[in-house]
Amino acid sequence: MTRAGEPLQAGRRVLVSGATSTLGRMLCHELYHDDRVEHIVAIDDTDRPYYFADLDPHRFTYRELNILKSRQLSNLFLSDGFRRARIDGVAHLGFLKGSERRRGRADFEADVDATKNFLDRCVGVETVRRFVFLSGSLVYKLRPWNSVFIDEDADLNFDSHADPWTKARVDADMVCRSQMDNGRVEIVVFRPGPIIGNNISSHLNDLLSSWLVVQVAGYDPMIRPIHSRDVVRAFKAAVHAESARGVFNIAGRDIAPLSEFVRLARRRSVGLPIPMLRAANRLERIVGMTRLDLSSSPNWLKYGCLLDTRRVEQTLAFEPEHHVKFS
Amino acid sequence: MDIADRGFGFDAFGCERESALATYLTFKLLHRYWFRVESHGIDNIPATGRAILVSNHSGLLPFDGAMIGVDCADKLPTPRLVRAIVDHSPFAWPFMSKFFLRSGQVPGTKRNFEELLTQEQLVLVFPEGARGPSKLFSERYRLLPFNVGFAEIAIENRAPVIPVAVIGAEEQAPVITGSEKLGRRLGLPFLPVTPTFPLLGPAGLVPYPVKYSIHYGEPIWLHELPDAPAEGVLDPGAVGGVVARVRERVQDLVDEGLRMRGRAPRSDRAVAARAAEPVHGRSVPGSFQAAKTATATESGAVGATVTTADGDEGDPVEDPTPAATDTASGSDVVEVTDAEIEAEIEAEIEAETDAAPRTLSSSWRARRPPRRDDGKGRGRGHPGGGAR
Repeated sequence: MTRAGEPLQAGRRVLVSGATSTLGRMLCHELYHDDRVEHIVAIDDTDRPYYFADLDPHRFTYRELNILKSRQLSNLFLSDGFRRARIDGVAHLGFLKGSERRRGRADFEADVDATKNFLDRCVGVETVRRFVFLSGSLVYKLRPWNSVFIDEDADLNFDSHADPWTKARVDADMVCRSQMDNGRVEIVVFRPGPIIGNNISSHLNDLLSSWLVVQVAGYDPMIRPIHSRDVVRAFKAAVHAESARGVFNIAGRDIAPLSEFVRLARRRSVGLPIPMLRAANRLERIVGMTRLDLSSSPNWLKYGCLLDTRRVEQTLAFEPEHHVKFS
Repeated sequence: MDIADRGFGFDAFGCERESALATYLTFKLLHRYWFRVESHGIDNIPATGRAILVSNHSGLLPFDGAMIGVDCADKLPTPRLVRAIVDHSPFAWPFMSKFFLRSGQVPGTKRNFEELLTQEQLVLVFPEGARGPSKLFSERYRLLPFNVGFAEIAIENRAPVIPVAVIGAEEQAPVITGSEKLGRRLGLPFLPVTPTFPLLGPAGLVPYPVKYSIHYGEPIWLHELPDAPAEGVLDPGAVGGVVARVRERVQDLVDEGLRMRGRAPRSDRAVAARAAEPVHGRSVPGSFQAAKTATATESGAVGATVTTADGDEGDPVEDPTPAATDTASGSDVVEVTDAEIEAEIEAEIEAETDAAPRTLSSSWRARRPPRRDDGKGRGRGHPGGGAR
């Protein structure tokens, strides 16, 4: 049995959930080309995609399963192949995968339950030493009186009127934090700033890919987005770190007002009061001009959210490398 | 004016050099033509490095902060951008929030304050807080108790504190009365009533064209004070003592400013007024200096006089015994020692200044009728309430 503090095996053996998401795919490829990683088990709820077809089956295994289904998850953890893989690190990217934001409340709750179930299973595996979860910056409660840099101990958004997507994020974050005292498995929760990248589903990415960007009139919050490549680098750093446990903010190199990023993305924008903004957003969604849903409180369009990344810099020696670029 | 540019022309707080400059140019007109600001002792502000300006606060709208900002940009050999620590409420309002952030103002949190000092900025704080502008006109130029946060941060970050007194702002919008309850409903700290507001609508908020004078005191390194708390230990008692010292210094500057303007400070006037009243056959001196210069002729009008024991201004006193009565002059002349007068004056001033001036909340509380103790209380804390 592996214990915290013991040296890890020479080569890492990593389980990646949500492997067919953009971040999952990038992470799998990154780990595959990393000599320090011995084996990767990728799971997701679709057929083996074409971009994994060429990977060496001795180093890369793909399993089609839906983590929302407990039976399928049990089968994976009980399978001989999985036992032989002796997984020591888990990267959980399968939570709220894709554009699930328009689903119902029950679906979000099922997602949280699935994450709890998945975490419990992983913690139960003797060889697993680290579990890395991707949360988000929207779990923080954004208020006008927040400090300019939000650290990991800032208040979370437990508002009863928060949208189901945010609630599910906060719940899953809390589920992972509840296991942090586990003596054997180190739980790492990453809270990235808004992720920018092709085919990434993040609130900022969705906003900036809209045909017409709607902003709240009279506000222009400071934001600190992170490039998707940097998120993958952070996961790699967490997988390889000798010791890592806790919640870590990760954010990119660029700090600027939202309007600057809109300008860089070469989008047209309009500032509207909140009631009109919601109506405009609904109209945009109906005609398919945006994926963004602003029906809940869009505080992130009003108040700045710059993540304080000192902890991740000190603990994981992680620093962002990539500037945000728009094609 | 330097900002810690993060690559897009903005610093992390959202301050933009161009916006700060535009704000400066706008307020410079007010500085020169509306408030006709005079400043004294601006050389006390360091040309570079971290420093904390600690000022009195008044005047409904924060033109005092703006004038200090223009002063530091205008009159320092190397212009410096003043970063004011501001109450939270403006950051919740559209447009106002953007204006405050772009021009360099920062929401008041410890982390923000420390971040500014780390960037070696010149930070302005009003330790009276939002209560300062809610001061009634009758309580002008009397400082409210200071919040202690700035002192803790100054000690931890070894930043010099520069006391600042703004004279004039107290008269720009005299608050006659107001309502905190209504103010809170509107998202404001309080809703004031001045001679022009709300009578004239938003136009009633335009400040009166009073003449400002700003006085900058010498820097105080709080961590070097003899009664400063030990390093790493922020003993509330010790910090409170240090804050009291800063408050005293700001009050001194306010008094000095009032004297320079040709108006006796309130504390002086109050005591001087009492000097004219006969108290058990003798009068109490207005101030130490006034006591020294009091003559028998002046005091004869009220039938009493006070002379100092050394008699340097009045008649030579043969007998330095306190309270000796000169019956030969035909009037009750009380002789007291310097020390006695000084102690008496200090006690008077202390009693005046220590009593916290009434803010709207305190005056309201005082006027509010006591709650009925008839068992219909609403809260658990209420005597008639309790857990159900």
